[in-house]
Amino acid sequence: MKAERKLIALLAVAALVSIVNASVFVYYPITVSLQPTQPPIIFSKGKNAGGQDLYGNTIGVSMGNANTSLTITVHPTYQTNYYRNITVIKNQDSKAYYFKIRVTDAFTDTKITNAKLRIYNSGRSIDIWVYLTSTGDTPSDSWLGPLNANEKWFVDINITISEAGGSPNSKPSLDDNSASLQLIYSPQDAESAP
Amino acid sequence: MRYFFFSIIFLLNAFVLMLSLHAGIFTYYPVSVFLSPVAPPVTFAGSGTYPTFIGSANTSAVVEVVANKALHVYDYDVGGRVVVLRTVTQSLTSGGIFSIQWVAFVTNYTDPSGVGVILQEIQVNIGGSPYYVSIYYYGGNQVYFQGPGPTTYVYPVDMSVAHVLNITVSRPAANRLRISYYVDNSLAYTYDYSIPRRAAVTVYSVEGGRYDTRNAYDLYVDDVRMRSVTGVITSEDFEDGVDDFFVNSYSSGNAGKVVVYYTFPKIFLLARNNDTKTYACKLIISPLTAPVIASFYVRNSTYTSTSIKIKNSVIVGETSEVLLGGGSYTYMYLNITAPLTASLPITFNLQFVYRVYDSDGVTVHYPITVKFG
Repeated sequence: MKAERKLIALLAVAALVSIVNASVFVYYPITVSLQPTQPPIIFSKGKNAGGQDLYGNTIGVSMGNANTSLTITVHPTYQTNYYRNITVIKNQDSKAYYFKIRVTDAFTDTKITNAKLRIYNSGRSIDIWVYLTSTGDTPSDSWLGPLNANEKWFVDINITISEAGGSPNSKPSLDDNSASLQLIYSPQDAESAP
Repeated sequence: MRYFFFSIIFLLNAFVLMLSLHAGIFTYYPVSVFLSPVAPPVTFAGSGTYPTFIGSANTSAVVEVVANKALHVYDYDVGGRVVVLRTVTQSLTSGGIFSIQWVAFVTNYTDPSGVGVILQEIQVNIGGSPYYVSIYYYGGNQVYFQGPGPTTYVYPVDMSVAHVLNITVSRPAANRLRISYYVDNSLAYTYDYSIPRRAAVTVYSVEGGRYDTRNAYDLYVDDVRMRSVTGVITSEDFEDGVDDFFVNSYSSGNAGKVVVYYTFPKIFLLARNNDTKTYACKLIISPLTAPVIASFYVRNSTYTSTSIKIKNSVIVGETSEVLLGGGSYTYMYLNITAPLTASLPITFNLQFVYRVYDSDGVTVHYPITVKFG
């Protein structure tokens, strides 16, 4: 009889514990609403986009439909090749924005001894080089800017290819001929970009 | 208590507002850069003038310029003068020949009064009266052959480079005097004069520079060769650092003569356009500090660029552009002077820069190193 009481007590405790750990789900409503806007920052073609490159080629600059992606194709030879004003970064908003460039896939061919992209404004108060031979952010711990309302920045590219092992009758042979970047912008310059 | 409550509410609102102002909004646009290399449309070739080492793709060059010595005749004073002179005093009889020859280059020429500078001259005394047979320069691309009479013959010649000048005085017959002017070993002009059969003709002196004070210039003279009336050759190349030839020279003011390290304007490198398109090209020099006077320039078949100018430091850092047509060449020139006290070699770091004509979309830079000395 005493054992029965103990068993009942244990069952009661077990039942109580199961009630305490019962799955209780509480639902709060959260609404994520997307209100797309036109891009405040766009790429546009620079003065020399589509212009003459070496050996009758064309300086290739193409953008996506919304001018929010950019592909540049140039035709350098040995030594230093400087491409001037081939792309423009334009702020079509009434607010200022801050920028940085993230190189996600760098040129790794050692024959490319220097590859850099230059971003500057018309007064050259903004004038920065982005090295395309290593990954990372430029500026690394700050932001470039601001790019003020309706202001434009210009983009040049400088490519140096070593002539070591090269020939005057053949083009430089490159194992890696592409680099990938991201143009990152934000209306603030207080936080780092993830 | 009520004041405290509203303060807390205010601070919370301010915090939320700050959060919204600095909200982390980051937008990422993808960018791709592709390189599609091409063979060099323009390549270097050696000029043969100096030892030259060209890179494997013919897109870089190291040029070793020999630092010869020459006589620098300078007049930097429109109130001063310099005449480099050697007295000869040799009798020119019938059948006799006398000649003087040297390499001359004149630069930095200023002459507001138009008095000219004498690149080469022989004073001949005929019957006791002095006559001068001369090669004058008054600027531009011509020289003037001055005979013993009033006549002058204008001879067009490119004065951006040095020339071998020679005046030969001969007496083919007792009553004939012939003056022959040679430029770069080619006969350029001849005067023939009748003289009294019994006239005494004396070659009195050879000289260069200008007695008149009203101009300023740099005149470089080298490889002097004088043939006396008896056929004796006297030569002077100044390589010992001493002028043993113009021993009777005189000067006043900021003018004089000095033996210097020198190279006359010469082609030191060629560039060939392998493309069918036209390119525009020029030279650029890096900053330099050295006891040197130098100039570099570019020429095509018809046009000479402006010069890079160096006088102890870079005064003008780049040339103007010249066009380089499809399949054609452009020629790079240099002209360097340094005092004998200079520490050699002096290294010049240049860039040959070209772009597609009518476009500044792409410029290509090839390195050139010039070692002088």
